Amino acid sequence: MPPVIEARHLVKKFGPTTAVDDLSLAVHPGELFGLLGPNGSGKTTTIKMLTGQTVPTEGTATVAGLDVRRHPLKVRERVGIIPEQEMPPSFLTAEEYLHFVGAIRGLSHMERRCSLWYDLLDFGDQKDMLCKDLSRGTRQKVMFAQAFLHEPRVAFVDEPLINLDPIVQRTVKNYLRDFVSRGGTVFFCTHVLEIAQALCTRIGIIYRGRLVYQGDREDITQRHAHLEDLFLDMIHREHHASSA
Amino acid sequence: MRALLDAMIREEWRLHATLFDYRLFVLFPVLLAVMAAGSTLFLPVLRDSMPGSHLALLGHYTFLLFGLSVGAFGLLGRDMLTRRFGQAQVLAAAARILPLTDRRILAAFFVKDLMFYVLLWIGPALLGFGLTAPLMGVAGRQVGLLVLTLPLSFLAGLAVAFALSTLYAHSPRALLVVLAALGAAVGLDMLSLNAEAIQLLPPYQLFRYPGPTPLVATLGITLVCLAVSLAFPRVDFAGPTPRHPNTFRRLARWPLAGAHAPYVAKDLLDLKRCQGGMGKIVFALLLPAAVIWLLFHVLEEFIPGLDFLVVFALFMGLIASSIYNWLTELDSVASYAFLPVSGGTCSGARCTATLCSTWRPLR
Ligand SMILES: Nc1ncnc2c1ncn2[C@@H]1O[C@H](COP(=O)(O)OP(=O)(O)O)[C@@H](O)[C@H]1O
Ligand SMILES: [Mg+2]
Repeated sequence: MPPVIEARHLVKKFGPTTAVDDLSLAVHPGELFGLLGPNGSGKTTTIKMLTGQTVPTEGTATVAGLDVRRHPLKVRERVGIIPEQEMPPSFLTAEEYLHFVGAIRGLSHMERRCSLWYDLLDFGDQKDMLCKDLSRGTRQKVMFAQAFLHEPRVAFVDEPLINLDPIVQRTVKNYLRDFVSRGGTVFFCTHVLEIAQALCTRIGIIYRGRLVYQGDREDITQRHAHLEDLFLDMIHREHHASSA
Repeated sequence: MRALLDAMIREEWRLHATLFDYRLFVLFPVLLAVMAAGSTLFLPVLRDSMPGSHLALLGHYTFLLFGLSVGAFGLLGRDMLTRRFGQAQVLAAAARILPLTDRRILAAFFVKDLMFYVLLWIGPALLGFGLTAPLMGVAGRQVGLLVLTLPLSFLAGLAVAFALSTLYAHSPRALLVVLAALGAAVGLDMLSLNAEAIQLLPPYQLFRYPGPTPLVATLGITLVCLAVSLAFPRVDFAGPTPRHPNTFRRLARWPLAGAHAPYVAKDLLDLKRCQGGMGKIVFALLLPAAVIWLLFHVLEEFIPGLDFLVVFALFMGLIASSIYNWLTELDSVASYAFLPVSGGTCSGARCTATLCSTWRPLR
């Protein structure tokens, strides 16, 4: 089966800084790919390039069969994205915001679509509160619902669990597992090792913009007792290699 | 305070530099200076049809009006703050962690905005005028005075708008009463005294008759208004978080806005629900309307061809640009980046929204 997400030699430079450096990877349907790396290592920038939110300095990528350079809008139509910062625009209620996204995406049956999410994430009457008045966790829930409203086949999620309480975290993890088991694909960025280990079927480690490791979860568990060891190991090695 | 101001200025600069090409941004004041210089070249023509003192009056009221409309931003106060903080992670963290009162942060915002307007608008315009006017036969003394009194007029407008908006925040009804009283006074004056009171604008008086009395009056008005605004900052009403029914669904079907309807609906709700509500549009509409109406009466005498429609168009332009500014302030580019919309659609929709919100309160 061809990969759903394929990056070939992606580079992104911001002036003198190279945020992403020659990154190539492929993610197949049914995979929950975790991109793991410390803060500032280039995870968010990678997602932004893969979803047509920012133009790569070099390299190409295809997502859901579309070239991200040539069809950035179409890519965003097809995939679901949870951005790094939870930030639904201020003065709409949670429900109105979901309807807004639905209108942009040209979706019908919005009531039915929304109520599914109200139930799943236990919104209660918070759906009628202005987004600006919601807690960060609830805003994150809104962003989660927003990304899956149009039932995409591919989702890019950037630290989606960070403000959620354990109960909602559990729900969200289960949803993502179920999503990939139905043939969906998730590209998941995080710096939280436990989440990656518990959730992802395959893991890539990014450090200073370079993909320094890729492997299946089974692989990792066999070779290392814990993902943390591998992670720190890799980063140590890279650090010494680059400073030598 | 200094550090906060520094950070804010740096942030504002970066914000603008990312929104527009920074070369364009630098070009703006230059262009403004050139335009001001260019229009000064027409002074002799204008003076044929109107005495210099009336031109000066017009200038002072223009600056006052500009100050008023900039100051009306103050109505958005806290909302704008949260939006901006939303964009500025570092500052948000800093402002929440550092022991700074809201009043202080607000004051820093005020100073920063003032600096930006002075640097980008007032300064360049006066520079262009100041360099060209002496060549056009305006006495050096008068040019010097204008360079002083015009900014004072701007500042007075700004301060008055701040004070009125503070009043509004506490009691919209009180604002209405004050505005009605002002309107009545002006109306009476128009009827009985043939628009003499319009000349009493302190900065203009200072220009005509330099001396301590108009200077004290000018500074007095400005400082009192500013003090009032800072002394009684808008109170945060605590209490249960309000719930709202889904209004978006209905608004998003507004046929006039066509394909932009969802964006227009969102913008309208933003405007309606942010601090001050739709009232601030009416407010921003009323104040300049009063000023323009006054000016129209003065100008009519001297420019026979002046059509009321032209003045009205000018006025609507001014209003539309401030609403556009508000909408942009309330929103951030990042909130669309992950959705399948192009930047073109966003700015197109923003223009439609501006048009709609300009006309809706009029209906
Ligand atoms: N718009 C930008 N302008 C300049 N530098 C940026 C920009 N976005 C990201 N960077 C830099 O690129 C690097 C990678 O950032 P990011 O992708 O956000 O990392 P992560 O998501 O892994 O924390 C960082 O050094 C960051 O400072
Ligand atoms: Mg990130």
